[in-house]
Amino acid sequence: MASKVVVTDLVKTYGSMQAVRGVSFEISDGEIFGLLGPNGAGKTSTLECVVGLRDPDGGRVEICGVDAIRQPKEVRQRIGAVLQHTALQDQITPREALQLFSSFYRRTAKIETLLERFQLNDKADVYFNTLSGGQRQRLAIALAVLNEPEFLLLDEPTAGLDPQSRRDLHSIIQQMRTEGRAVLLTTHYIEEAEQLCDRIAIIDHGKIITCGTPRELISRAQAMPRIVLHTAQPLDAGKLGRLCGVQGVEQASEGCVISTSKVSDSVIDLIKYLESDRNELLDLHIKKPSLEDVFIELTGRKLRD
Amino acid sequence: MNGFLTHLLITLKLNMRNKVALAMGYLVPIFTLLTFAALYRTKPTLVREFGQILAICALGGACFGMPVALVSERERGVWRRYRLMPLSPLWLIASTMVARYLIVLSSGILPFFIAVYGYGMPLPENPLILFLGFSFATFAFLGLGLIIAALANTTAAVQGMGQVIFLPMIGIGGIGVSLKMLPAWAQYVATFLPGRYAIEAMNAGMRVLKEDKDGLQTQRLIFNFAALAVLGLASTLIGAKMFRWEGTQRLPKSAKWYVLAGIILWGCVGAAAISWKMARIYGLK
Repeated sequence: MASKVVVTDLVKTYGSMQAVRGVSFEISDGEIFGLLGPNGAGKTSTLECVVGLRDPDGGRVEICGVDAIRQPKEVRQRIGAVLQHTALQDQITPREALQLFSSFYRRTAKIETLLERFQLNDKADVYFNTLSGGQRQRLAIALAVLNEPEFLLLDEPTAGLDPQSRRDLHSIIQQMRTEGRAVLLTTHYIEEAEQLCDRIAIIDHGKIITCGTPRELISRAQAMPRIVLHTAQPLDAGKLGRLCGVQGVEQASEGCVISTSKVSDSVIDLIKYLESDRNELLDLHIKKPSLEDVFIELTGRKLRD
Repeated sequence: MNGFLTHLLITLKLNMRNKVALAMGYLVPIFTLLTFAALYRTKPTLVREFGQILAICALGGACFGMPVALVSERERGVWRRYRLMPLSPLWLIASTMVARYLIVLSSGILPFFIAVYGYGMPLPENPLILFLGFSFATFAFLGLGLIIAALANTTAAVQGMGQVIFLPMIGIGGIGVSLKMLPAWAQYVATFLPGRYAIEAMNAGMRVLKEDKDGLQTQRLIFNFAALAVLGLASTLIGAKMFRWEGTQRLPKSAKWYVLAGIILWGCVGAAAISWKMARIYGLK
C-alpha cells in the first residue's frame, strides 16, 4: 500500500535539548498510526513538525507526495488536524466556524452535511462556550475534515472527555479509516491506542523505540500472563509457587497475582490445591500481557508519568 | 479573498456580541463627547474639539480594542488553529484591521449625531477631508495596535503597553489637550507622534482654513496626510513582520531591525516637521 506520510530522520532541538532525535515512520492510506509516549517523550514536537507548526532542524516530511517543509501551504490544503491547546472564540457558532474555516480551502465538504455527520445540527447556531466537551471536540474534528483531508492528525482527541463522548469519537475515528484517510493519533489512553490503531510507535527521549501492530508489540512483551484470584481464606504463597508453570506470586490490591508461563496447567493445579485446602474460590481472572506492560518494559515509565 | 471577507464579517459579528467591547467601543466616545462639550464651551460649538473626540475613539480602538481582541484569541489558541490553514497571516491581519476600522468608524457616528443634533455643532465644511483624515488617523493608530499585539503576551500586557502609547498621545500628542495649550517642548515632541497630524487633518475637514499667499495651509494638509500614511505604513509593516501565531512563539530575530527602521521613519517625520519650512507651517517656536 502506498505511504501517504513519510517522515525520515526528523530532528528538533530546543536550545541544548534535542526533543526529537531522528524519528522515522510511514503511514499508509486507511491506516491509523498511533504515537505513544510518556510526557516529554517528543511526540508533540514530532507532531508539530509534521503538521508544520515547528520547523524541524533536520529530516524530511513528505505528505501526499509533497515536501511538507518546503511547501507547507500546499500540504495544509490536504491535511486536517485536531490539536491540543486550541479553541474557538466564545461567541462564534459551529456554523460560523465551519463557514470561516471552509473559506480558506480550495475543496470543502458541505457545511450542512458536516453538521449532520458530527451530530451538531441542534447546536449549529449556539455559541461555542455553551457546547459540552464532547460537542466541542466533535466540532474540532468537523473543522479538521471539512477540506476532506487525505491525512488527519489527532493530538489527544479524547482527553478529558466522558466515556460516552469518547466512544462517539472512537467510531468517528474508525470511520476515517474506512474512508481511506491516513490518521496519526497521539493518546494518553493505552486501551484507546490498542483499540483504534493499526500500528503503534512507542517514543521515548525523542526516539522511536519500537513500532508494530498492537498484537506484535504485545507478543514481544517479556511479561507473563497473570492469574488474579480472591479466595475465602488466605493463601499460602509457598504452595502457590510450587504449582505447575508458576513463576511468581505477589499480593496486590486487586488480589493474589500469580505470574505463570503455563496458564492452563497452573489453573488446573490451582483448583486442585484449593479443593484439597477446602478454600473457596471467590473470583478468578486471567490477564494476558497488555500494551501497557510493553510500554512499561520499554520506557520504565507509565504512560501518564 | 473569500477567506478575507468571511473573517472580516465574523470579526464584526463577534465584536457586536461582546458586551464589554460594545461598552468600550460605543459608550466611551459618547462620554468623551459629553466631557469635551462640558469642558470646552468655545464657539462654534465643538468644531475645534470634534477632531480630538474622533481621535480618542480611533486611538482607544487601536491601542486597546484591536490588540485585546487579537491577544485574547491568541491566548485561547484560536490563532494556533488558524495557523494550520493554508493561508498567509497577512490576510487575517488585513481583515482584522479593516474590521477594526469599520468598528471605530461606526463608533464615531453616534457622537457625531449627538454633537450635531444635541449640541448644535455645525456640519463639517469639508466632510471628505474629515472622513479621509479620520481614516488616515485610524490607519496610523491601528499600526501601533498591531505592534502592541505582536509584543504583548497577555491581555494584561496589552493594557499596560496600550497605556504607554495612549496616555502620552492624549497628554502631549495633541489629542486630549489642544496643541496651542501645550508648552513649546511638548509641541516639538508632538511632531514625532501621529496624534498631532490626525487632529490637524480632521480639523481641516471640520473648518476649512483660508489659504494664505504661500499656500501653507494646503502644504500643511498634504504633510499631515503624508505623515499619517508613512507612520501608519511603517507601524503596520513592523506589526505584520513581528506577528505571532502563538504566545510562546519567539519574535523573529529581524524584529529589532524592523523596530529600528520604524523609529527612524518616525524620527524622519518629526524631523521634517521641525525643519524650517514645516516649523513655519506648524507655527513652532
